[in-house]
Amino acid sequence: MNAFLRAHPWATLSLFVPTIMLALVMLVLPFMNGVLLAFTDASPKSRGFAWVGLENFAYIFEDRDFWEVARNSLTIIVSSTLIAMLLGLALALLFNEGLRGTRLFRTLVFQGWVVPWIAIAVLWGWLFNFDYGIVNHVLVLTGVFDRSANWLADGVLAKIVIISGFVWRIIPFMMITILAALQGVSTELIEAAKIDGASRWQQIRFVYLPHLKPAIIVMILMSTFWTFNNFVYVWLTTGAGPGLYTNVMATEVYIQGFINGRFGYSAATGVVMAAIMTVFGLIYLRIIAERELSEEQS
Amino acid sequence: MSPAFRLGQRLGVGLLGELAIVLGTLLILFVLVYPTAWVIVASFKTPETMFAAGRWQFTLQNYVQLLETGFWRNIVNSMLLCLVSVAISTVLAVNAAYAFSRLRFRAKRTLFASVLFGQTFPWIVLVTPIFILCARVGLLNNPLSMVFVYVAVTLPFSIYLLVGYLRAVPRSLDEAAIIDGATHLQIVWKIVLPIMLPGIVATATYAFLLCWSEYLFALALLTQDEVKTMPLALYAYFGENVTEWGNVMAASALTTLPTLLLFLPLQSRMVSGLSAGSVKQ
Repeated sequence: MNAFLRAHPWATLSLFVPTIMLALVMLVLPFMNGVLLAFTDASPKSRGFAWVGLENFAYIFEDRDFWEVARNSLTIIVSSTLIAMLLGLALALLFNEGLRGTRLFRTLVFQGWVVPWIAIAVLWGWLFNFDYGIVNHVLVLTGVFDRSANWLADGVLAKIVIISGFVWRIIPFMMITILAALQGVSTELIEAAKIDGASRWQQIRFVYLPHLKPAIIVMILMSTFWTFNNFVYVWLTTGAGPGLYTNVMATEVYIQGFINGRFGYSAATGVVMAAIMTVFGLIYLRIIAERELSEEQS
Repeated sequence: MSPAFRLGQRLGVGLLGELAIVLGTLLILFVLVYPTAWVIVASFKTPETMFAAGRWQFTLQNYVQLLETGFWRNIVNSMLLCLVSVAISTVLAVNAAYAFSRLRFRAKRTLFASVLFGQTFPWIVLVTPIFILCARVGLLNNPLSMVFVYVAVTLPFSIYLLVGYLRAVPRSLDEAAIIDGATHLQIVWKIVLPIMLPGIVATATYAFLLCWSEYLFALALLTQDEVKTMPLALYAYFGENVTEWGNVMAASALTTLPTLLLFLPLQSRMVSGLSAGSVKQ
C-alpha cells in the first residue's frame, strides 16, 4: 500500500522523532546512567565518586536484609495475585450468569481500579488503625479477636494489610478482563455442551476455563508487574515497616538511595529489580507481541 | 421466580448453596465499595464524628480549612501539570500509534517491544538517575522537569492503547487518502483522528489518571511547597504525632473524585481498550 513511504522512508521516522528523542533523554539515558551508578559509591553527600566494580552487587547478595526484602516481595506478589485472581474469577463467573443489575455491580466493582494509590494508602491507614479502625471494630465485635490488634506494628499483620490493599485494587481489573473474555466464548460451544448433557459446573470447568487460560496468564503477569513495581502504596501505608517486614524491593531502592544516601547501592538494587522484571517482561512480550504484531504484518 | 433463584438451580447447588453465594458476593461487593464511599462521606463529617459509626455531623469545614492552608495552590499545580503532560503525550502517542498500526518498517518489532516493556518497567529504578539529571541541569523544583517525566512515563501505555483502538479503524479510509496524495501527517490529523476520537479521549483519561495520582517522581523532584502536587501535599497532613484528619479526608476526596468523575462516563470504552490485549486469542 505504501507507495508514498517507499519513496520517503524519512516520513515514517518523522512520526516517531519526538517520541524517540524523549524516550532517549528521559528513559534510556537515565537507565544507562543508573546501571553505571551501580558500579560506583556515589552519594548525594559527596561530590565525587569512585568506581567500585561489582562491590555493590557482592554486598547485596551477601546481605541478609536483601534476601528478606526479596522474600517479602515474593510473598506479597504471590498472595496478592492469587487471591485477587480467585475472587475476580468467581465474581466474573457469577456476573456472567446474566443476573439482574450486573451493569451496576460492574461499575461498583470497577471503581476501585481508578482510586489513586495515595488515597488507598490513607484509607488503609485508617481501616487498620489501632484505636478507631473499622477492621478492629468488626473483628472484636464478631468475636474473631478478643481485643484490638496493632496491625501496623506487627510484622505478619502488616504484611496482611499490604496484601489486602493490593487485592482490593487488582480484583476489579481481574473481574472485568475475565468477564470480557467469558463473553467471547461462542454460544455454539455452550449449546453443544448442553446437548451433551453437561451441567453448568461442567460447562464452566470444561468450556469456559480452558478458554480463559490465555487471559489468566496475561493478568497474572500484569498483576506481578504492578505489585512488584509499586512503591507509593507500600511506602505510605506501612513505611516499609515494622522493621523490614513489609520492605519490598521498590521501597528498598528508595530507602537506600534517598534515606541512607547510598546512590550506588540503591542503583545496584534497581539493576537487580530491572533484571527480574526483564525476565517477566520477555514472557509477556512473547505472549502479547506475537499476537499484536502477527495481525499487523498481514 | 427471581433470577437469583434460577442461579441456584443452574449451578445445582440448592437453596442453601445459593444463599451462601449471594451473601458471599454481597460481602465482597460491600468490601470493594466501602473504602471509596467512606473517603467521600468522611470528608463531610466533623473530625469529632468522623470515626464514630453512628454519629454524623455534616460540615463543609474540612474543605474550607483545607483551602485556607493553601491547598488550592496544589490543586492548580496538579491540574496544570497533568493537563499539559497529557496533551503532549497524547499528540505524540497518536502519531506513533499510527505508524505502528499502518506502516511497515524495519525496526517495528523492536520498537513495539520497547513500548510493551514500558508497562513492565520498574519506574523506581529511574528516580535516582532522573533526580541527578535534573539536579545537574538545574531543573529541580521546576514543573518543566515533571512535564518531561510524565510525558515519558505515560507514552508507552498510551501508544499501546491507541494501537488497539486504531485496529478498529478501517484501513480502506486512509488508503483512499494516500491515493488522493495526502501525507501521513494529514491522514493522521484529518481522517484517523476524528474517527478514533473516543479512543483518544479514553487514552488521554488513562494518562491523566496516571499523572494525577503519581507520587514517586514528584516526591523526588519537587521539594518546595509552592510547586508541590496534590498527592505530596495530602501526605504532608500526616504529622509525626498528630494527623489532621479533617484536612487528610477532604484532600483525599478531592484527589479521588476527579478520577471517579472521569472514569464513570468512559467506563465501557476504557474497559474494552484495557482488556483487549489480554482477551485477544
